[in-house]
This record gives sequence, structure tokens and C-alpha cells, in this order.
Amino acid sequence: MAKRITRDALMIALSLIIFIVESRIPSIIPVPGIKLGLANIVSLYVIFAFGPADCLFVLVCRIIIGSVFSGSVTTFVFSVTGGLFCFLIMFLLRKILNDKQIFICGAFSAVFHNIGQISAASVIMKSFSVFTYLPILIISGIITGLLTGFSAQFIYQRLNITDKS
Amino acid sequence: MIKTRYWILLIVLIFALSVLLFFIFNNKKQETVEIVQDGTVIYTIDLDNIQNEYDLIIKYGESDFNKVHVCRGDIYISDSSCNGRDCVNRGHISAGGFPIVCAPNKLIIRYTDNRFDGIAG
Repeated sequence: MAKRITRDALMIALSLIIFIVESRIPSIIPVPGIKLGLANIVSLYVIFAFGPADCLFVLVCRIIIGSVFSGSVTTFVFSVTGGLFCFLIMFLLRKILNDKQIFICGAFSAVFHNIGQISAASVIMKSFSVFTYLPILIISGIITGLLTGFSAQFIYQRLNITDKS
Repeated sequence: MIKTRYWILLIVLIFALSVLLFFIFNNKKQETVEIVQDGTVIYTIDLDNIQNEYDLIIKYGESDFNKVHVCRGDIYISDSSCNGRDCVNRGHISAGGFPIVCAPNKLIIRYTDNRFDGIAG
């Protein structure tokens, strides 16, 4: 149990660092909501290597602490909705995909993360017009999702921890 | 286990669909602008239905003015009596979609539809 907590804490720290560093990188593309989502690499790895419970735990902790560090409530709201949508699809796909298809999970989870974020935006702004951003978010979601998905895939294949305790 | 190639096919399909939707959405933009002076909308112009280009000289008070050039799909301030001439340098409204503002003459030219300003990442 202690081993599990330590392991999860390590994953939280890892994804937190990636999240914070990535948030400081200025965005090339002017569209709001487009990001590399590199912290998702950790989430993908955790859900495939350790299971959904650990993944949820790591994700929630990272979102809370990350929002505290970034100091903005807006970040928290959008991170929570994006993260939950992302986790939901990862949880569902985990049953269907095998270990060689992590990159597919990455693509879907990134897209759903973006969908979650614009849904939150539309609720906050009380307007459906934000959904015109949907095509560009899906496109960027697929691209960045494949990027992070492949990264997680390679990491998983190298490490291949199957600690089913 | 669904084979990987079917997943890839699905992703490609969604990608292509999104590209399609992207072009459809961006062509249906309604090009209506309104010119606001001192908080009151003084002109509403449908830029798609402009037959001939024309100029609007909008006076402010006694001596100040803005000369607004209206053409098909575009509008901009071509001349102004204000000091900084930021509004003239701002250029065409189609560049960026943000409003054109002449603060000294209290003039704003902007698109009428809801241009949302930003979603936090």
C-alpha cells in the first residue's frame, strides 16, 4: 500500500512538473484552448500500467495542485472539466484497447479533453457560439493526442511495469 | 480487441470530418458590422451586400471626423482627425476580427455577431 502511494505520488509530481512547465510555454497558435497536453502522457501511462483508480487519483491531485500553483480559478474549472472528460474516455477505452494501442487512447483522450473544455466555456459564457471552435479543437486534439499517445506508448513498452498488487 | 487499423481509420475519418466542418463553419461567417459612436449604434452595414464601395464621413462634435471606407467584405478607417491616428493604422477589420477603435472620437467599428474573446487553456 505504501509502495502504491509512493508510486502514485511520483506520478503526480511528474505530471505536475510537466503541466506547470508547459503552461509557461507561449502558444504559437492563437486559438484559445489549444495546448500540447504533455501531462496526459503520465495519465496515459498510469492508466495502462497501474489501472484506472490510480489514474484518477493522480489526475485529480495533479489538477488540484496544478491549479493552486497557477493561481487561477479559471484554470481549475477548465482543467477539471477537461480532465474528467479525458479520464472518462480513457476509462472506457481501457477495456477495449490493448497495450499496443495506447496512442489511440491518447488521441481520443486529447479530443475529449478539448470537448470538455469548450463545454465548460459554453456554460460559463452562456453561449453555444463557442462550439464553432469544435472542428479546430478536434483537429489539434487528434494531432497532439497522437503525439502524447505515442510518447506514452514508448514509455510503457520500455518500462512495462505490471505491478498488479 | 478491435484491430488497430480500424481505430486508425476511425481517427482519420473524424479528422477529415473536422476539416470539412472547419471550412463550412468559416465560410458561413455573417459579415455584418456596426459603427458605434459614443455608445450608440449609428450604422449597421451588411458587408456582403455592398454593390459599390463608398466612404462615410462620420463627424464628432464640431471639428472631429473619421472617414470610413466601406467595400465588399471589408471596412476600415481611411482618415481621421484624431492625433495618434491609431485607428487609421489599425487597418481592415478583416485582419483579426477585433474591433477598430478611435478613442478620441469615441468611434467603434465591430462585427455584430458574438465574437467570443477567449477560452482559458
